Amino acid sequence: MGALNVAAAALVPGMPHLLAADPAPSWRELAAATRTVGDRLRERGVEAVLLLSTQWFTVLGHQVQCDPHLSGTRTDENWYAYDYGHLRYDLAVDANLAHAWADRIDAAGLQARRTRYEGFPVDTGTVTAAALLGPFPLAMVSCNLYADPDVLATVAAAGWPPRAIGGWRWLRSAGCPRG
Amino acid sequence: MARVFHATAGSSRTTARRRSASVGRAGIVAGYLAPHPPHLVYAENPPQNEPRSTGGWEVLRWGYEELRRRLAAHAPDVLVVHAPHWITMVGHHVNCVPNPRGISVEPIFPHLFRYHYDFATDVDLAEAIVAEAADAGLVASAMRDPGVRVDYATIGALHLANPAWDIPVVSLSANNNPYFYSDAALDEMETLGAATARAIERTGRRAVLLASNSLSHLHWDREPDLPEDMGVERPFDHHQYAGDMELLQVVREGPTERLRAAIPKHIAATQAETKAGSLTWLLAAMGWPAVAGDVLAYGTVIATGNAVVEWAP
Repeated sequence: MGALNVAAAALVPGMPHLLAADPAPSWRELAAATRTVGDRLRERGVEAVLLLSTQWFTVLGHQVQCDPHLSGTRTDENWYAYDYGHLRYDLAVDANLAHAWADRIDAAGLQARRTRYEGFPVDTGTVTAAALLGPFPLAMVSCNLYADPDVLATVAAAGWPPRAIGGWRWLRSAGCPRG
Repeated sequence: MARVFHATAGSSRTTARRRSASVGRAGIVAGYLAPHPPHLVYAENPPQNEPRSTGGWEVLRWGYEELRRRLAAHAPDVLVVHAPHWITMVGHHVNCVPNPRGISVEPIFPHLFRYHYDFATDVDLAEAIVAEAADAGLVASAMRDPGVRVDYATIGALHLANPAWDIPVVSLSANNNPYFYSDAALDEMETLGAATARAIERTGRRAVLLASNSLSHLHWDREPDLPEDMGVERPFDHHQYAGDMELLQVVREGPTERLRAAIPKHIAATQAETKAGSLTWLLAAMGWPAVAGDVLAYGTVIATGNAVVEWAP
């Protein structure tokens, strides 16, 4: 196992247009840049990605995805008329890391909500980013619409695991749906 | 799950319904403010929803029971619902899938709402609304993809109004974004409401409208261990409650024209969910009728204000 710290952080877009079969030039450039981020993470030996997608927005507490394997097709309620509105996904979740993150969110005085439901609708931002970055095990937390920045900072800090569960970790935030 | 009664538009049952209502007029016969908290569906324990509860939020659910009695008396051909959680960033979308069905696992409340839906769309009316909206200059889309999950605000209002699902449906999206959310688009909802009314008139439907909105919208940021623990259910604060009562007083006094000013004021005071436009759409479609609303119930859900209201010109 590598050093016990955060290897990198990145802000990447979550708009599905980046996965279009025939993308606009700017979409192509953004997609290429996000793939480059994935390449750099692999070069650094990143073992898992901590992810907060602004398109998984919630209002009660902080939901942590605890299902170890998420697969299916995401049909986006905005972009269903286009090829990029239909996204296949097959995501591995580092469930141990996710549960540890949830425990540490609770320990920080916030409310973690462990989420594991068949048919749970994985959001477009998560699917898009995961497709472009490449196959990293994920740990995912929702974006509470009403959480102040300092609260989200606490949630983020709780994702930096203690030595007992550690490994290389990387934290990133998918972009706002408005781009 | 239990089987859900399923009636397609134009089926023998709906034809009979139209025939029985033929003595009445076509057009919009009533409109309801029909809030959609998934807690109300969860509390009812319908066979379509997987989670089980011990009840809760009874006063609001009693209000919906009265709504159901009145809805049966109105004998509509179709329920038209505008809901704030089918969020479309580009334009107004109308569900034109003939038979939406599937499971809707709600991403915010998956522990309360995993609902198996199976209902009929009045496609002719849905397409007519798209056409009228486009002719009025709005960006409008006919959504024909059965893979799009139906949201809990649409299902919640429809289930609570008509749990038998034996009336065809038209479902409209909310053209907004959770990260860019204000009452600035209410003028556009006037246009969409008028377009909806023209489509209903053109197709000869006898319609009931549902505005799937809560009122004051500040709420708790954490949940009790027992979601239906009514010992902790109360308004967020007095300001939020008073704002709701001020609006409902105008509703009860009428006429609805006064709500043109009262709704934006209420939004500014309480972060009301009506900023998504559903209530403005409903009243505009009804032509801002010169009647008072009948408040069937008021109650809070995780501190948000919710009222079940009927307008029947």
